[in-house]
Amino acid sequence: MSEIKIESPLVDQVEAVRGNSAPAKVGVRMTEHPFLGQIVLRGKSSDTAFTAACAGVLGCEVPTTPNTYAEGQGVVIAWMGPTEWLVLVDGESTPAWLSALRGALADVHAGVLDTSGGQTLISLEGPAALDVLAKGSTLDLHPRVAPTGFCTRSLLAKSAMFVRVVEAGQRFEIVVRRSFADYLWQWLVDAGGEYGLAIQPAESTLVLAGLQASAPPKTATGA
Amino acid sequence: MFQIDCPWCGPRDQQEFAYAGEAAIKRPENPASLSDAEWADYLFMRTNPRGRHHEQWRHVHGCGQFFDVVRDTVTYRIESVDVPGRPALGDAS
Amino acid sequence: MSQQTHRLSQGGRIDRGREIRFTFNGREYTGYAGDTLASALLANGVSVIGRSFKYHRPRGLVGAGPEEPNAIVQVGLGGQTRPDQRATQVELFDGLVASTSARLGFDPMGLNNTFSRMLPAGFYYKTFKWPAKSWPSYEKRIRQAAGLGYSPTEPDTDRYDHMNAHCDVLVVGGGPAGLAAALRAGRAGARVMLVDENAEFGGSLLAERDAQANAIDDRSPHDWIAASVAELSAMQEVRVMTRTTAFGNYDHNFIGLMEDKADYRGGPGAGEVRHRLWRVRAQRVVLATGALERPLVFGNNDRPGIMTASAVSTYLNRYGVAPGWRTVVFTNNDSAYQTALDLKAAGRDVAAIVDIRTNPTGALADAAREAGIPIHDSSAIIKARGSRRVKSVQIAQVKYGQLAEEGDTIACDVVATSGGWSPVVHLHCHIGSKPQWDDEAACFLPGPDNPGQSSAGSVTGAFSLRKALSQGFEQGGAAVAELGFEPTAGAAPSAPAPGTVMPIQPFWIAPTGKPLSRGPKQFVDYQNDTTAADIALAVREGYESVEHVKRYTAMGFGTDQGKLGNINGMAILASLLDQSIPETGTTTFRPAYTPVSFGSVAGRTADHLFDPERKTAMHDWHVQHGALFENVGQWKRPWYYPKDDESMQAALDRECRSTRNGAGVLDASTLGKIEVHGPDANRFLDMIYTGGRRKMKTGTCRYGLMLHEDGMIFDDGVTAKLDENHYYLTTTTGGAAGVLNWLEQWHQTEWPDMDVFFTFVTDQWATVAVNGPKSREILQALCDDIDFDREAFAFMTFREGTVAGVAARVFRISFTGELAFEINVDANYGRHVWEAVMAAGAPHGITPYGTETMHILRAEKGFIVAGQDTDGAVTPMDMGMHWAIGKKKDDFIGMRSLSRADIVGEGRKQYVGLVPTDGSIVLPEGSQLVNDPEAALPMPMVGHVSSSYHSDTLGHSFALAVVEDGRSRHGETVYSPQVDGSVIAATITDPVFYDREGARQNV
Repeated sequence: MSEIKIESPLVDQVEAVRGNSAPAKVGVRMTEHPFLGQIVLRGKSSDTAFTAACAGVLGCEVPTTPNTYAEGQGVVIAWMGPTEWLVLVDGESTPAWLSALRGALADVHAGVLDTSGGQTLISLEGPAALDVLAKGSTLDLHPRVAPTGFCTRSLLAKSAMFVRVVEAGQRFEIVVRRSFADYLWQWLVDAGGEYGLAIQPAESTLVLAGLQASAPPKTATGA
Repeated sequence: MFQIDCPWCGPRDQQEFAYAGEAAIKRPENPASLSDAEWADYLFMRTNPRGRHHEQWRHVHGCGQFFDVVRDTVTYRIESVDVPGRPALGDAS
Repeated sequence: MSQQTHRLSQGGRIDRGREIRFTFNGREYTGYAGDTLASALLANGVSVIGRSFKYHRPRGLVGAGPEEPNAIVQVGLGGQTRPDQRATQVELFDGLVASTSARLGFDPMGLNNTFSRMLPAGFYYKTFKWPAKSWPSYEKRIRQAAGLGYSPTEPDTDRYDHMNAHCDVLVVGGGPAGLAAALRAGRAGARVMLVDENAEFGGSLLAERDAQANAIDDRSPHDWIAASVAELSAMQEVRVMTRTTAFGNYDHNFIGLMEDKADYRGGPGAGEVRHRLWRVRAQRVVLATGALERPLVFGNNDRPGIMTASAVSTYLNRYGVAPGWRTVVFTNNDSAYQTALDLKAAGRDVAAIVDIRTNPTGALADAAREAGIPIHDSSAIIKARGSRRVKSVQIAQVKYGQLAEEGDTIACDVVATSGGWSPVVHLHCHIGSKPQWDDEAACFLPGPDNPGQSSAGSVTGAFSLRKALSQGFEQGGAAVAELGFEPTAGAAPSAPAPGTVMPIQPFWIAPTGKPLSRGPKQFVDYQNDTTAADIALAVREGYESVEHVKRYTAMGFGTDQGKLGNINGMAILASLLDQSIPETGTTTFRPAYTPVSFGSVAGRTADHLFDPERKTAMHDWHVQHGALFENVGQWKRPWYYPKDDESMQAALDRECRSTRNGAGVLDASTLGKIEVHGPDANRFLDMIYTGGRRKMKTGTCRYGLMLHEDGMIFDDGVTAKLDENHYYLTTTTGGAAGVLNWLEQWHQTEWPDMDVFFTFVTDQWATVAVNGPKSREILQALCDDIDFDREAFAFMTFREGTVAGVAARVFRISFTGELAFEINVDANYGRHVWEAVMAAGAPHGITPYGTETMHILRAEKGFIVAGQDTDGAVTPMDMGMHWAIGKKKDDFIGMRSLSRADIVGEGRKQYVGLVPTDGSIVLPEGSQLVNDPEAALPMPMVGHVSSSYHSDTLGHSFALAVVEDGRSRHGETVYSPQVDGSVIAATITDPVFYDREGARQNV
């Protein structure tokens, strides 16, 4: 059997893999983080058997405040909906996390689905990152509304996305479905061009925000 | 473009939502016992008020949840959003 | 090159050190940085700027801002040219090329003016209506003659942008009120956006002399503007934007802005954006949109040199240009007196002030008298003389609105008129609010505030600077206070107390003593050449509603949307109908306030970013192997793979033969995939599918149909039972999102007590469908942990194992009727597994095939494609799929509808096959079918063709169709009349054409 070839959804975007020659002025840096472990967790937050089992494996409580995420040791767990969470881990550790979660949740009404091949993660960082996203997103990602610890599903341009605020107003992570990734990447390259876009070589590492506790976001922009 | 206050996620732009018809259309318990006319009434007949309208929306590009909205069809003002019978946050599905 | 003969020796906010060259209608001119095209043309003494729309009368500048109706110019050349630009808002830059399309010298269409009696309102409707088929050629000629501009014929290569923004307070208009509002809101720490359509902030202050007498907070007005803008710009949460027009006010405080990023300086540099469309969601909106001066209506009031008084002041004070040497001011209110004083201060003659009011008093009238300007009170200009430029005006005494006595003729080259001020209520009214007439101010004011919005400054009728400042300050504070901010203490910016003012006297049209249709034209809408006589004609012909009169006379239909003329027109209509102005009302204010470029509406949604191109993990392989692609929804799917110069049919025949005789492979990754699990999964899916799920054994697959509650087929697919109460559903490629929504809706809104989850996993799995008699051998070569023996791995079951070293779910299902296996793997390994399949299949001649071959093969078997062979109006029985309905089920979605009288009755269209009598003809899909091609029109139609192909396997063409009662008509002939007049005959058959016993998939 020949070597097993793994390919990110952005395999055809040469710059996503190798990076670009950065422009003189850099307003935003963009990096693909391919091959992370991306696990969808389903369950009911009112079900203490479910939450206790999750907390035991993850090392932190599953966030039940809408649009927030929590972090444990090498793991991010993000609220996606009242019965759905996205768990992000390093690619190599994915099988271990999957089996730990499946084992702990075997007797609970819950689901553990591996979606690592179905989506990829793109990070945007820098003073213009927020403006690049604002070109295609109606979300208010101002730090007053979307502090570090905020996350949500939404739309970016004509693609669905999940966005996580890693550093308020400065660093964002976008999770995009595989089939839309090539389109969204090209859209981001075009939207970022105005500010000077540096593309960094793909890096298959999970970035943690270093959250202590997730603060509930405000829903209005007012003080 | 409306701004709709999702009961879970807060105010979001209309493009994240999908309209899902009139609210509180209950499927009959035992369809087989209904006459053709009664069944047709359930299937097809909807109110079309000028003014307050009870309708369903889904935060399809957000938390994925369906919820009820009272909206004025003349002014487009949204009076309230609610999840029918929602016991507690995080427990709808 | 012309000289700037009309430039004042000093003053104005222009940079006399920076001379700018530009071209207008083919002639070169110079102006200064800070000029608009309008002010520069005026400075060069250009009085005729264009020709009017209908009568082709020479026209000059009337205004100095967005209201300008005449000076509508085309700017730039080639793909970047922009039509419909107001010269008053086009900033001057080096190399600017502008033109008005109509010829300015002798204009043969000017004969329209001579024979204008024959061109009244409604002329086009009445004359060009017949014959109807000639309208396209009439329209072409009329448009050429009208010549308001042209769109580029080459691609526009510039970059356009969209930006979504959120703020606490959006302030529209950067005049004194807007600046005061933004300062107050910004100081409180709120997120504020302040936008203004002009090149600089200041609004009405820019049109006034920068005199200490007008000081704000002890600073000259211009210094106060600069200090305010500097303070706002330094605030972190405040965004100030010039050259940004709030063009539309939409629901829930959603405001559209168009920002010019580059036109003002001649275009964008590399990578830069030309226009940016802002989509702003504001918690609060303060509308400080100001007011526009109305012209007065009198005979020949369109002659070049006749302008609004405020425009004259703007050109003098802001641009250092005097429109002429000798001005007559005509007014019904105080504000034009300021223009007379401005002219005097600039050293220009004011021949007279003609005031309709009797014995004008007040601070400004006193000042005018003191300056020695003759005032003719109780008087009006009744007509102007001159053709390419006003030469003189005829004035007359007016009593009780009637002509009392004709007076002097006064020579002049400029007439500055003021009929009062119309607040810019457009944005306020865009979301349905009606403006309210105010008798005292003689204007329409904004009605009650829209939720979350307020107005400040002259838009509210607060025409004094002091009041505008205090109102803006107050509204800015109120807006942030409502949001929970603490407005800072301190007083509003202070301005000198206004002098005594004499009230305005409404005056809508100068009396001539003649019927409106006689005498010189009195223009109401310059851009559309609508006169007072046209309105009178509309009334005579029975029109009463202002909306109908608008449509009959075209008043307000121009690109200026009637900013200058509409109120005059409505007032004239009111008096003709003998009713009040409020009874008459206004027409509807709709976005956009000023024209918005198509580029900015499109943004970057163009070219390769117009719509997502969804790609599978194997996409690049398909590209490299010469696939042509078909769009299926947003997906790019291989259509077929032509070799060398092979024709499409030859490629399809080859792909079909390989698959039927050896092996073919299809990228089926695009099928929708949903995992369903939870203790109530069985119960739930029993309600969703027509067939039962409860008795399915783990490890098996079952075909399923979903109906809408009306009994019509909605989607289909295969369900695999992964475990007890755990399923893997496939849907059609296009139906995936709709199916998930369907499942969620029933679960959340009808059966929330059921414990079941649905998770969308379409993108997770790459699907390689290996079809053909050799597929088993190929799989066996790639996988050693699954037993592929016929009995061990039966048809309609699945196994988990390792294919080409990758964990896989392998389904033994078939959409071709051949022995087939679908390999599902983590999409990150999709390309790897696909290539492994190709390598393992090479000895068997494995052939990749696309959607077209997939269709031929499935149609030969009579397999339907939901959405192609079904159209939302067919039931399972119509499709001959009784077998798919669970016999013992009590209920499922759509079941009750299947026993409705009209569903079970005769005459329903039923699924059949068709074989054309001439097997070389492929029936076009969508063709209608009739029983008798000779029948009288309208011919009764009995069905239509849903799928149609040439079959290499069968050796002739064939089709799938629905035909009324078709199942009982096998062997009969139907006919399909074609667009070209030909008729294709076909025999009705069973829809399964190949291997009716299903033996080939079961080996």
